[in-house]
Amino acid sequence: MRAGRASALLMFGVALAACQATPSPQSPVTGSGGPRTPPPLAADADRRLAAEVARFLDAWAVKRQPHAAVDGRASEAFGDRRFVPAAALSPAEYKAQAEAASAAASTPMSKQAFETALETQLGAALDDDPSGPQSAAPAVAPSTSLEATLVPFSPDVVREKQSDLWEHVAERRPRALLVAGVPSLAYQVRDWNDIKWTASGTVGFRFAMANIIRQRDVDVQAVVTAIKLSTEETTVVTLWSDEGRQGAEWRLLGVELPARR
Amino acid sequence: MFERVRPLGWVDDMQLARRLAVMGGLCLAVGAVAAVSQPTNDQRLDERSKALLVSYATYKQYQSKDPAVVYNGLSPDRQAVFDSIVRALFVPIQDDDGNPGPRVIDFVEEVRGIWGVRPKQKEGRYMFRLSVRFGSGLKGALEASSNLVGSTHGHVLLPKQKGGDDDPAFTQFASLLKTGDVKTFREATKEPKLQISMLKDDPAVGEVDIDYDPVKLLCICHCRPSNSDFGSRKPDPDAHVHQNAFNIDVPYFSAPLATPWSNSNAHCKEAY
Repeated sequence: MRAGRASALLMFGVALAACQATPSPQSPVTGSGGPRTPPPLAADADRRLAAEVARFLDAWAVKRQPHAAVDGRASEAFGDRRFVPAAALSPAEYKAQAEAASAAASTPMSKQAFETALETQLGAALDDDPSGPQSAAPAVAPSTSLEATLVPFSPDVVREKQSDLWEHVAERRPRALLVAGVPSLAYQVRDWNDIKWTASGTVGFRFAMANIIRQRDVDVQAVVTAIKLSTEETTVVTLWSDEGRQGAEWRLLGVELPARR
Repeated sequence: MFERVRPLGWVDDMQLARRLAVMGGLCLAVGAVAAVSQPTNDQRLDERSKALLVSYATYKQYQSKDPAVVYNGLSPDRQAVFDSIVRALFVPIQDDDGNPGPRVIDFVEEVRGIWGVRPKQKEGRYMFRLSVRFGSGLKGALEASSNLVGSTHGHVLLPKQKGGDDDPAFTQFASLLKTGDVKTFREATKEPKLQISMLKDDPAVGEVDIDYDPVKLLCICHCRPSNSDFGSRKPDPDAHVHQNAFNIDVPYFSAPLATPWSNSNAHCKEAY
């Protein structure tokens, strides 16, 4: 249990502190998770997290507005060049960054610059490439609702239908998180081992994230959603930091689209 | 006077000096021999490429096992697949701190399938990859590594001894593709990414490909192909993005790989 969170809970009394002893916040929407009452603060943090994920995905995947998706929403705790996604860098820049990151060189960057980098990645994933064949159809139909775009992805669903993913996340004790009314998968991230199944190209996740989590006492959560494409489903992993504010707010530090080929 | 009692193994100064000199000389000699006998990556690439081509010819029961003959018998797109993937397999397997260990190529015993471009075939898992046999120890080494990490959506395209990869008319891919009970590893902190897959119940049977492009939400060009297609590019004047990225990502050799095959028709999914 993190010291900052424990201190906050103590202010609310012994009862709440006892509830907080549950190591990972349990979602009230799991359905199959038994009758356990979730800790109020954790549930509140989850509601805020779910709302932020829904806002982000609606702006990016449905409305296709990368700028609106990240504007004012990027993490400051992880505002470091090591967390700039590969898609926002040229191959040469990326290689230089990977080498610097493996040497644990911290290169802070402004929140605005970090947002711009994330926005570049999100824009590239939409791939509005005018040189592409005209007959190509968008994978995500525009103007649909987020609710209609998301596919249920609760722990039970993943365990049953995507066993290869479950192999990697089961021991992280994932919980269901209602995003736009659709269950998604959420779990706490402590270090690279928790998300390495994404094979992320972002070098900071592997070389710097764990230290920042410890040093800045931030809670990082991974939210795994499934998005319906025209021909198949794809998994979107978003990573969120509470910036040390005990779940009162959630800021974006990474977006992963794990390969499915 | 008392004669000094010399313990067993005792040596006088002169003897010690002579022995040290001999040992130093030996060390220098061993070092020199090691330096001479330690092949460079270029030499290893040449040696491993030839050995893998021989293994391929043996599996396919070709008349000639001469690596040059086998290589020249490949179509240019298959040559590009072979060259690029063998180079990419030189990636060191790193520990938790990023320290390099053995290279993946050290665990590759045979190449049994070299899958090139398939006109009109839109399924990327049927092209641009090698069907291989791994030596023992690879699975464990990858499971302990921090840069080649266990991931999802594995696939193994099994080889076919007669026909298959070397038959341009072959279309029975579905009978060779395994997606269930497959363990897959992807290269993290790298773009493009090497992907290594193996059967769970027989980790010697596997497949290797390279994923060049990140997943998109909108599939205008890169959706399903764009795997291992080192030689493909968008139509002119587009830069050869895959080739440039590959050579930055795979810097283990003295010269970058120049593709024997360059094709702007086989790049986007709609072109297949």
